[in-house]
Amino acid sequence: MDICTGANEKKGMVVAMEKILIVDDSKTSRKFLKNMLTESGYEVVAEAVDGVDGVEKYKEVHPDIVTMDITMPHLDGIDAVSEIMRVDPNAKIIMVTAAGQKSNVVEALKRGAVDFIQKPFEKEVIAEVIKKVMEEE
Amino acid sequence: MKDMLFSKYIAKNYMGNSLSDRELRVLKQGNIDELVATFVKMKNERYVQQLQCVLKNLRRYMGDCIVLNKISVSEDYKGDFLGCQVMDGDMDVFFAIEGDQQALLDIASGYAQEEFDTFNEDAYDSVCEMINCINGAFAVQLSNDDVEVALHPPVFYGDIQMNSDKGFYLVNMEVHGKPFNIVMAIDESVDIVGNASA
Repeated sequence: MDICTGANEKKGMVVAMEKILIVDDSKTSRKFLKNMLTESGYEVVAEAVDGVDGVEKYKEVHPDIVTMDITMPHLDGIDAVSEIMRVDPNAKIIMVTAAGQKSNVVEALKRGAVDFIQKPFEKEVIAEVIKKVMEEE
Repeated sequence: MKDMLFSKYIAKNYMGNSLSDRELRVLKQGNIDELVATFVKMKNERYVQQLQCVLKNLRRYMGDCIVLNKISVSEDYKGDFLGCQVMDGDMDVFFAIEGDQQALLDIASGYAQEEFDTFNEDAYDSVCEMINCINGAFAVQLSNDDVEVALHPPVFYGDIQMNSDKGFYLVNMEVHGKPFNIVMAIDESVDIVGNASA
């Protein structure tokens, strides 16, 4: 049986959509991101409101990809990357940040994040980054 | 003029003055960068750059419903609700949006692309996210000039009073006819007293 992953469903193929966990303390950002990911054909399996919640949800749902905001209460996105990488060294975490925050992104990449996307979100950019990350598997 | 963003401001501040050919051309073209650079006088070029960034992003997120009224420098101000964010590093930047519930509900609804009818945490969140994105865009511009700043989380206050020894810019605007203020300060401290909500 052919298996087609990602956004493009093809006739006669079983579609295995990538499962995504969104970690962001902003409900508005989560909504924007979820809408764009869903429209691009990805399945948002869970949402988390801070780093602690994100680590817990990661353990529960084992997503293919995590989108991780950086500035969050309780446990920020950079420390949450470290926690998740400890749980699963193969985790694919994409950082989400306001534009102009280079040093935070670099630190997150050092801790194991694989890529980053910047706010404000653009659907095409998000889809491209996720596709690239999945292809690097 | 292409839209209403600058029309009131020009009418108030340039009424009776004859406009040069260049000024008329800038008005007709409606380029926000050019409009600010041509018609707004500020303390220094950084403020001009910040205002250009703010107005372009407000236009991007809110569409044609925003209007610039008046720009002034103030040392104190009392207001209703205020969402603000600080950036620090090579430069200290304070940016805020202040207004009453109705104006901020319109801003929150416009940015989130959903109608908020009560001023709740979701509405605060929407205003704060828009502030975060506007400041992010300004941080990129600063970074292009080798000025690095870090964004702190946005904070929301109710029933606020602001004070600053050297003063802050108060940019009075309208959204769907409802007044609100943009507050900007660069390398000048702004003290806020109010009820922190987020």
